[in-house]
Amino acid sequence: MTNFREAFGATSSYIARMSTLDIAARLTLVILLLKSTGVWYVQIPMVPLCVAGLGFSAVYRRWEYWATISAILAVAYFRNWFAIDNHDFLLGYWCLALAFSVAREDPAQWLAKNARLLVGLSFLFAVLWRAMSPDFLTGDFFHFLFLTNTRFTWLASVVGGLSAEALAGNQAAVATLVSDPSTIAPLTSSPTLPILAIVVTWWVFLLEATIAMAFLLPLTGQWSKTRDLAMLAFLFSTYAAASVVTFGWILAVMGFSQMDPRRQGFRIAYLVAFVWVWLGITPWGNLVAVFS
Amino acid sequence: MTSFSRQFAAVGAPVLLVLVASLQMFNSSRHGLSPWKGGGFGMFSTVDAPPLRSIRFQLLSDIGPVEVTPPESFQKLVLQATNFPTASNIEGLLDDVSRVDYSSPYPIPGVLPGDSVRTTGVAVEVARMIFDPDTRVIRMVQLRSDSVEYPDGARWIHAEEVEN
Repeated sequence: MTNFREAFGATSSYIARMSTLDIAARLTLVILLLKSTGVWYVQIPMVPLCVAGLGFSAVYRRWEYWATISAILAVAYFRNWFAIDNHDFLLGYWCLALAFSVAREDPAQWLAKNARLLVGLSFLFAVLWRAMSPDFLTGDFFHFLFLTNTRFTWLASVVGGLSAEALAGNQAAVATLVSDPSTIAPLTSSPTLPILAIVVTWWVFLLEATIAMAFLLPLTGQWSKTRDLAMLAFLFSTYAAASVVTFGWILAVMGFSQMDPRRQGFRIAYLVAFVWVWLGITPWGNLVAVFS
Repeated sequence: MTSFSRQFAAVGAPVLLVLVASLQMFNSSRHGLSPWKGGGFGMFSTVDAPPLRSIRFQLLSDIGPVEVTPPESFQKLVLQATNFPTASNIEGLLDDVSRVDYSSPYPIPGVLPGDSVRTTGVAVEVARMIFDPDTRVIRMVQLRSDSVEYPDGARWIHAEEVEN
């Protein structure tokens, strides 16, 4: 126990000595190395660029470095904009923000400003979409998701009480309908799932609306902690259920970049969240099934 | 660099986010772009996700529509038309698909192996899934469809035995 405390203390003081830019840049490079789009004209230049940045801090302190990465991503995104995911867009904006920020005399301050705006705006648009969607606030979207999406299988089975056979049948019905659109297909549900869907729907909606407001409003002092508390609640709750690693990682890095660096607890919490998001790919449902 | 342009450059990324997301909302509401795509942060807000959309290609023939699959090389165009089925994207895809030669033997349901069928054009249909929470039934609704006649007249396709 003493060794663990000493190791934790040493790690904390090491992290405390590192600047926000150093940690944010390196974590961003990890994301780029592992998760940037798989097309060859991105992968070939991105791997040596990321390795250089991870090896030499002087590299990622130059705006030309981040501008080059942003330009490579922009080409890939422009060619495939209708197919790429929203976290790809957000990663691109973040690299652009790093380019703009390191070009300034006070990069940490501009990085924080950009992170707040990017998080706040992306959540604002997400909240707008959810409010406008005909099937979100009613709970129908999450109900459908729990019935059919493999990412939420364990939630539907462990919490929702839906059998593995019913889930497999629902997933097969979706696949059949997509290949033969002229038919209709009934899905199997449970009495608990619509209630669970409503709870999750409103948790997500209210939390995302809180994040959007907290990051866009000029909160200062103790009120600024609202941003970190809401974002950490989002990261730890969402990515326990949904394995969307890249989005979670980018949000963890941007959350980390915008916070007051004197708040060591939050600093550590964001880094733990980064690891937590990675653990989200663990098939918890399968493990529960195996051990039960 | 002037003070204004320095300030603008420093928030260039958020400004770009707003422009792209606003454009995505417009394209989604007017031109059928999937809310999940295009950088508008509409993912996990609706059932209308790209994997839950379908695109169907049919040859127009004397015996009715005959379903075909375009070659792998059309993958990107097909994906674009599925996620963003504008009139121009569909027309462009139809134009390319209509140039594909389907004359080599092809399994045609309802046609005896070795028989031939006269085709006059090709049609495409993009649909999205909807979920009725009351009946818990899923079904597809059409987003856009279009067809084109072969400019060079009718073409013959030949039926081969359907593999089980």
